[in-house]
Amino acid sequence: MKPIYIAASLLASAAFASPTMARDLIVNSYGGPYEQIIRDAIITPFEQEYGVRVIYDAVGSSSQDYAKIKATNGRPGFDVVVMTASQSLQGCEDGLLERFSPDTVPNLAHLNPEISAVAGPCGAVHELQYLSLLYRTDMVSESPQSWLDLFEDDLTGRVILPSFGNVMAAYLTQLMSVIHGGDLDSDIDPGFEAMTRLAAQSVGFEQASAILESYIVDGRVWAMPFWDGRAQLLVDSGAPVDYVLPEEGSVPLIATLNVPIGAQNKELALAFVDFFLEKTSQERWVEGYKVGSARADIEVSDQAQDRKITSQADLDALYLPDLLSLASNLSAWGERWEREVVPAAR
Amino acid sequence: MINSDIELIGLSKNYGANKIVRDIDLDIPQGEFVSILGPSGCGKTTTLNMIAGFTAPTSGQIRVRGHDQAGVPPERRKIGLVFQNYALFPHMTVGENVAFGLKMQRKGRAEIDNQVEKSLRSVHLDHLKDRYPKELSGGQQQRTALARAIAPKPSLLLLDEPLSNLDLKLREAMRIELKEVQQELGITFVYVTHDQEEAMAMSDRVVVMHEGIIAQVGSPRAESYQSASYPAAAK
Amino acid sequence: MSVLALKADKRRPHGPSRVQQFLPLFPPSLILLLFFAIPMGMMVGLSFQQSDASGLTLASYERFFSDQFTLMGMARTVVMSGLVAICVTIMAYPVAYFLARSKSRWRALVFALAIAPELAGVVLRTYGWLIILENQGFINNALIWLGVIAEPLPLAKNMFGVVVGLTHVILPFGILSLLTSLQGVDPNLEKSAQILGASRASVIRHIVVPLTVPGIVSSMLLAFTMSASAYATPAILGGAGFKVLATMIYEQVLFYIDWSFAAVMANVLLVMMLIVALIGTRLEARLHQKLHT
Repeated sequence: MKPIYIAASLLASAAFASPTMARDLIVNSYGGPYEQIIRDAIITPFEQEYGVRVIYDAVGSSSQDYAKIKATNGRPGFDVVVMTASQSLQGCEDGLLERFSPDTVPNLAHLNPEISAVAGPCGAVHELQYLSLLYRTDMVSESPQSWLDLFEDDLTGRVILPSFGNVMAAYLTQLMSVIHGGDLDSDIDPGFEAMTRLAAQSVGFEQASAILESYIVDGRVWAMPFWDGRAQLLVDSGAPVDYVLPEEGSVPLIATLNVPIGAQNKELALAFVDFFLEKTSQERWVEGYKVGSARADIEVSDQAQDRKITSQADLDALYLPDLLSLASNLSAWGERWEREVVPAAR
Repeated sequence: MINSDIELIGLSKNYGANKIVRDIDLDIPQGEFVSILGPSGCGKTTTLNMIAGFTAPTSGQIRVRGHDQAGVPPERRKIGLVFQNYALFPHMTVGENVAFGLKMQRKGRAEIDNQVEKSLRSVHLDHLKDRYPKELSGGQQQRTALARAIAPKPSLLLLDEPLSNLDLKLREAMRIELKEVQQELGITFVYVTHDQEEAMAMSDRVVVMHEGIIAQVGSPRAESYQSASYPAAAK
Repeated sequence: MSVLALKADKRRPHGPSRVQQFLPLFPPSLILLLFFAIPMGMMVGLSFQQSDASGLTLASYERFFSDQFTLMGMARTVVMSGLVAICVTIMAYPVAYFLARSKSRWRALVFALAIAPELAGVVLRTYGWLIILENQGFINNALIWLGVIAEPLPLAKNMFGVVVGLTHVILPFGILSLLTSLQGVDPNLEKSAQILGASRASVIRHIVVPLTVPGIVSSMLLAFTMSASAYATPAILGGAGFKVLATMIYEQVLFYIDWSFAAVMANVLLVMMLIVALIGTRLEARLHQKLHT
């Protein structure tokens, strides 16, 4: 045979014999510096135990990922995705996410049932954070203990708020509502009233967590609401900040692992979810990403116990949201935010 | 007594190493019809541009009625100019075209109308005052361009091959008209052309240019061009 | 002999058949159909649906036209695009005039400087403007340091910042568009005007501008449509309260996941641009006629 034909057939067989498809898992997850944390804590151990390769996809916020799943009718191209309880509920209703069961994801049984209920059968709660009050230790005379400290005169013009496109904004409004005499869903007026007042004392709104972070790191603001996981990472990075869970309590961020209904590598995806929920994995995750867990039986450091959600008592301090109600209110609240809160900041 | 309308003294124009006009001297008396004759590339159009003020000379002087024109921009030279392609303002009527120079001189409405009327009549176009250039024939456009140039009463008119776009019969008719207008107005015409017959027919004086220099100056009536000392001029 | 040569040769084959003539149009038509017409059709269809009900409904349209916010967003889009169109055209005109007329050695450099920013991309340049315009940005810091102002001027996170950013990004297109129009004006016309006593300003006012009005219209049209569909610059330089159709569509698709509503907004944006384009091209044609060019 002519050399050109030999070369061509070799190339062709190489292409078709590629062994990648069967044993690869595509995981859509945290980006930026957090990629390294999830790699060390979860992905590398998983790859070693199962002898597979995990392809990492860092693109997209939770709602953006969900939009992608919906647009592709459940075949977005990734097998596992990190989203939140809100998308888990929505996805179940839309039939776009795989329903988990004790057979497919046995470790679900070890999770706090109340929290699992919030996420529903299509979401596996692998992480819990709460909304903390982050502040500059060098700029604030005494560490704040209450959410109302944000309204203090010496913090005027030294606070930044999330824009409504960041889910923190809605949660914060709910929290403020409870603190000021209303509730999480139906009596939300006190919440908006408080946010409007707070907006008038803030420097404005930003959407991305990374950009919000930069404001306190370079000292433009001295206090802000922020999720405790990233707050701890900021502290660890050496920034002159600290954070508290204020005395009135807080709201949680219930992060979940989800598997799209049309995932190509479903079996391996479910194995990955189960692996993430293992006791040892959760322990590594809590220590590595500085977050809380929905498993009550993990053994973690004192620092993690002190500052993260690791026990039932910790959960009791939180106001658990009705996410379906939030979803139906979201659009109207978004407009109300634009109408009342945003103009107050100018 | 200043008799010369235009004096070119040691006038040169170089573009880099290219010497387009080389140290020419010329005296043009007032009220004469002078042609500058030569093949394309001889520097005649460049000379015209320098007199008009669009091109600055590399060296030498241009005097108009004794006044040195150095540093005087075209809009202040009070010279008329007719282009080869007429360059009529397409968005203005014939009347508005002709009125333009007077408008720039800030003349009053009545005076402008009056002068426009007169100029158009002298080129036999008064009935076309409200037409647009697009609607005119070549000859009519040419006459409009002439009317526009003379309306502000310049003392000097430059014409850059104005008849070369017209057909032969029209050209011959226009030559007569142009000569008539010139004699009627009594102003100096400097007429650039490559057509020897035309130059001979209209001019009081012919200046032959070749490769940037003036080869010959003479009056068509006075000397005989059969014994031309320059071969190109004889063509 | 000549009579024979002139006789028609009846054996000569006919020209290409109808089908053959239109054959080269098939590939681009197919691409347009697959990647433009069908998705557009789907989007229009989407706007008439609701996720919780079946069948066609005008609910999303009703919502759009009765909601103060979406209407304000639409108005803001028009105002922003209009302002950018004006700014771009006014700033592009002198640059285009210089490029069209100048023979100076700087011409090539000016041209490169006018086009080169495009290479950096929209997002990069928009963030650059943010750094310059924001409250702790370059301009405010300089003015405060010089003692001219005490409090920072609100130059970013509002209409001003967005218009500045968009004008910068769209300017090269305006320059190129006007350049074409200006190059179509015979330089002899300007010379004629000059010799008739017009100063440079008069030449521009009486000759150049009137003859380039169609180019001005087309530059404004181009700037308007590019502005109306811009996302990154209004999102970054506009701030939280600055909602235009493009940013609202983004939110509806990726945050609220209300695609029917997003489709309505997209259709409104499209119709708005079509109307402006129609007015613009009609105007341009009418002007060409009126200018008798």
